[in-house]
Amino acid sequence: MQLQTHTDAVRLWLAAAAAQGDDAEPRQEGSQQTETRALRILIAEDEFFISLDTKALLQHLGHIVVAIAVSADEAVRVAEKERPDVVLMDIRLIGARDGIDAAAEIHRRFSIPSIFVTANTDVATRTRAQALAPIGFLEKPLTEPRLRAGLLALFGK
Amino acid sequence: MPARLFVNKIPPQRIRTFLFLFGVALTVPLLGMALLAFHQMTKLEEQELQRRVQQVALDLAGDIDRELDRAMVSLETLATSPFLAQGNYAAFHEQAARAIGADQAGILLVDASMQQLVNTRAPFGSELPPTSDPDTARRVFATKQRQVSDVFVGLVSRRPVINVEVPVWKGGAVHQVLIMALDAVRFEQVLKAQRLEEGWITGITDRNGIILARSERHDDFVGKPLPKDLLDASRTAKGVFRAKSVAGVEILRSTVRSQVAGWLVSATVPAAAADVTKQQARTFGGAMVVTSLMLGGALAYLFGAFMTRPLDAATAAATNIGQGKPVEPLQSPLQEANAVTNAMSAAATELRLRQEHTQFLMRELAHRAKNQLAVVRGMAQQTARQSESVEQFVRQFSQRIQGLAESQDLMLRQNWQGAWLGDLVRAHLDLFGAVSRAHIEGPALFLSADAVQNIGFALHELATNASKHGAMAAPGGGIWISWHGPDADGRVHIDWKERGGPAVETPARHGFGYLVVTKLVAQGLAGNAKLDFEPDGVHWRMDFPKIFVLSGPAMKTSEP
Repeated sequence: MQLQTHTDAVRLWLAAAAAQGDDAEPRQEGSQQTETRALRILIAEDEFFISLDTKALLQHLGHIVVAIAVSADEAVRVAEKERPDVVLMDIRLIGARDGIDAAAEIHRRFSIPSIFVTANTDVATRTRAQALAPIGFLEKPLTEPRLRAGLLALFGK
Repeated sequence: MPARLFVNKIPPQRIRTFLFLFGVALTVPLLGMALLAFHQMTKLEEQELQRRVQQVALDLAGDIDRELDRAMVSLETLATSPFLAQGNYAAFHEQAARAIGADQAGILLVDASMQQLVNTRAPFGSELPPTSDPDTARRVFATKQRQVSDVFVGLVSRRPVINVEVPVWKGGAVHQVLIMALDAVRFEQVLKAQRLEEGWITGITDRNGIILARSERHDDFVGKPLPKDLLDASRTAKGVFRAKSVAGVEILRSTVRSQVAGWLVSATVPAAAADVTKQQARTFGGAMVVTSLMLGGALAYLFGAFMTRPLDAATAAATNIGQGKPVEPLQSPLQEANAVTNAMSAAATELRLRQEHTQFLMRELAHRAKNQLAVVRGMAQQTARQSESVEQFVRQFSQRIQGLAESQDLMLRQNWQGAWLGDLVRAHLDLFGAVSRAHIEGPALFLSADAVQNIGFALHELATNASKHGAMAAPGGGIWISWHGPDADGRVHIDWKERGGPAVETPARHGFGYLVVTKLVAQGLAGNAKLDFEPDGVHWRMDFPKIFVLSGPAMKTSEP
């Protein structure tokens, strides 16, 4: 029941965002600025101010944000449904499981890579995350150059 | 400043020094008593020795007196011989010689002119000289009583002799004197008959202070005068006295005067014999003192080691704490050191846990600071999108940052664990001066950090709207905020209702704030939110699962 609510929330949020007409404009410039093709990206982030910002950055780079998930379970579920090219994964999410857990499952089940976006720099966590290849690491707060470089490293061929 | 204990004038000492002093303090009275006992014992022994010396002298004097007495009785028997009355000196000579028997004595008969009439030491009829000891014979004539002479060298015997003399009566007057001349050697034999221990010496001195007999080296000393000091002391001293013997030896001496002869009968023991006990006692006492001090020292060292090693371990433990190293509990023979070390071990563990917690907090803080910057960045982006002017952006952005700061403040006070819902509501209303017009009601709920931040955003947007368009925009308006839960459905319900503000109409277009309170916050909390534009005022409701409640009525803890 609870999980259903999440999915609804994401859909509603997307509807609301679309209603605001945020993503029409940046997509045009995006293809010029990035050297990657337009990617379908899932954002897993529990702070909406951050996820909205990340979404705006991605759209500005010409990518498509397929959904925003706030928990690990939700991220896995949405990944299964949407099959994005990549997941921008925050390590700390709401709920018991964390982003590393979710990234591992998504990679194992759907072969979708994750880029970890985190302010968490402690060694133990990093070591755990690095066990999952291929991955990228991006430091919070995200900036457009950082994001572009991170995506290029994975999809720049 | 180091704590001052009761003694601060004594420089610090090793524990074994105190132990040694403790041992000495314990031992000294006992040692003193032991030495006193030794002293008493030595004194008693000396007294016993003196008593024995005196006793020997007394016994000897008795022996001598008995010897003399026997001689006199024999003489007196002879004095009644009929041969004497008849003047038959030849017969008497024979009778006397038979009676006396031995060589060491002779019987003499002297008349008033001191002429010897009979002398058993010479064959009867020999030419006899006058007696060589006329004084004693004259005393017999004068006193009419038996007399004993001092020592002299017999004219006939040429040997040191003494005379025992008794009167020979005729017609009620002293007619002649009968004399028994006894060799001094006889008295030496009496002395030797005592069979005294090694070193004991007995002696007899006559009334003139001439040595008459001596139990040792008799021949060397007989006939010689006693040194004057010794003689004077012997005559005057009572009991035992210390002196130098005629042989030049330090002695203890007791002298008794013979009743019969008036001679001085002495018993002596070398002073060394008495002193040896004293010396032994002194040596033993000294050994005892030295031994107890050495034993005290050794024990102090040993027991000191029992204490200093654990104490050193405790010191090492304290040093380890200072260096942040772990401290193992101590199992030593010294309980106190164990207690100290165990306490330090516990302190070290506690310290390490605290340090780890501090490091955890530091990491957490670093993470949150970075994360919050990302939040602020997003907040700026979102605010900018809806701002029509820079002024509007600055005002709205500042307010949102302030709202975020309020939530942060509350969490900071709780070690980033979270915050009480009541505090959160009041903090966000206070930012708009709305607390006095708010009616807040709900149980004490301590929410997790995620929930605090998200609900804080919603409360901030609602309060902003209330102050611009809602209940706070009119003088009589009020806000009713209440919450309850976790309910049977496992969720917490929050209710925000405004009344008394301007009439409300459903807006044609919703802003970002609407998105926050209806969608974004609920999404972040797996919750449901709804904002109704009721004519009397807006009405916001939200619910979220109890996993975000760390402490509440169901958890049986209360708001502080």
